Amino acid sequence: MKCRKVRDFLLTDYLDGDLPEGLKKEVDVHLSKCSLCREFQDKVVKKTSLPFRDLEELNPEGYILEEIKEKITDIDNDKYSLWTRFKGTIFQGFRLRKPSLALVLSITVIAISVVFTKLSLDSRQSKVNSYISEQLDSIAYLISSGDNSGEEDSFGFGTAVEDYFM
Amino acid sequence: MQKVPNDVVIKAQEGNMESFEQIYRVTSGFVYSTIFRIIHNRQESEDVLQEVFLKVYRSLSRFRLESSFTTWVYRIAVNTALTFCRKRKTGIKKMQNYKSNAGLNIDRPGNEFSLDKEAKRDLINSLLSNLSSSQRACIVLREIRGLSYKEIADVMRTSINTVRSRLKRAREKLMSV
Repeated sequence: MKCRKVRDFLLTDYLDGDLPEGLKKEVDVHLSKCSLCREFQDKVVKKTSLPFRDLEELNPEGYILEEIKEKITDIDNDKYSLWTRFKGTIFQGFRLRKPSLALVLSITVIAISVVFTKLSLDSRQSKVNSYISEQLDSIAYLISSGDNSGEEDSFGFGTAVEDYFM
Repeated sequence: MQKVPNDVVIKAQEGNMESFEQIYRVTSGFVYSTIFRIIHNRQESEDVLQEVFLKVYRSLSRFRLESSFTTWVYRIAVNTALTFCRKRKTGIKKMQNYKSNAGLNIDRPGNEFSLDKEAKRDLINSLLSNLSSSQRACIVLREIRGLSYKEIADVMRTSINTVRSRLKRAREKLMSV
């Protein structure tokens, strides 16, 4: 095993006791033969591991728990207010991840487009239907008017213009 | 390190304040130590500690008992501390080079063990101030808290290789100081 690889292990898995047994033996064999790598190992332990040994446990001041409990009381009081619940519901929707939000917005836009298009088509269709219906009524009227034989003005449409000129 | 029993976690999830206080008492020491080593400022560490336990309180209902409660709390603590460091922007004020102070000269044989608590704390702060916040977090979790690579990766939501890489770079920097 080369020195560079050994030193990588000395800075990581070997130092932390995480190297698989086979690799550990190879490193040990190399260290037994290479004084430079042994010096490197000593330096690693001295500078990066020893200073952190047997450190005192730091403890927070006693008043911090009381402050946390006060804030928890505020949180609990707040969560029952109507406005907070309403805000929570609204903001919950915006906490969706972007792809989900994009999907929801796309579906909403498509749905609105379809509804408006359908309404528009229905509206136009009803106008067309209405026009066709009126024309059919007119034709029906003309046909029924044409059954009155002998009437010289049976070819007219009964419009005011006709009355004027005829 | 003392663990939090599952029944205490369950009672705290149901809103039992005494159980939450018990959780605080068991975990606040290691949480505070970890945060302080990352942030290096006592007042700011206390503020972050409060934020961490408020997050723990708010998120308790989402914690699944199959997971490790300690790892979960560590994750909240480390991520909150790292977010604080990023927002602070000014970074840790680098302490005076410890080598210039004869009393802290770690190259003198046996000196690292003869330091009093205050001096040792200054030494650690000085060493860690040379690292980025994520490298600092890895060193603290590995060297001080004794977490494995996998546990560190779980806490920091990253891969084992990234943890290994950060530890390597952190140690290289410490050796160059």
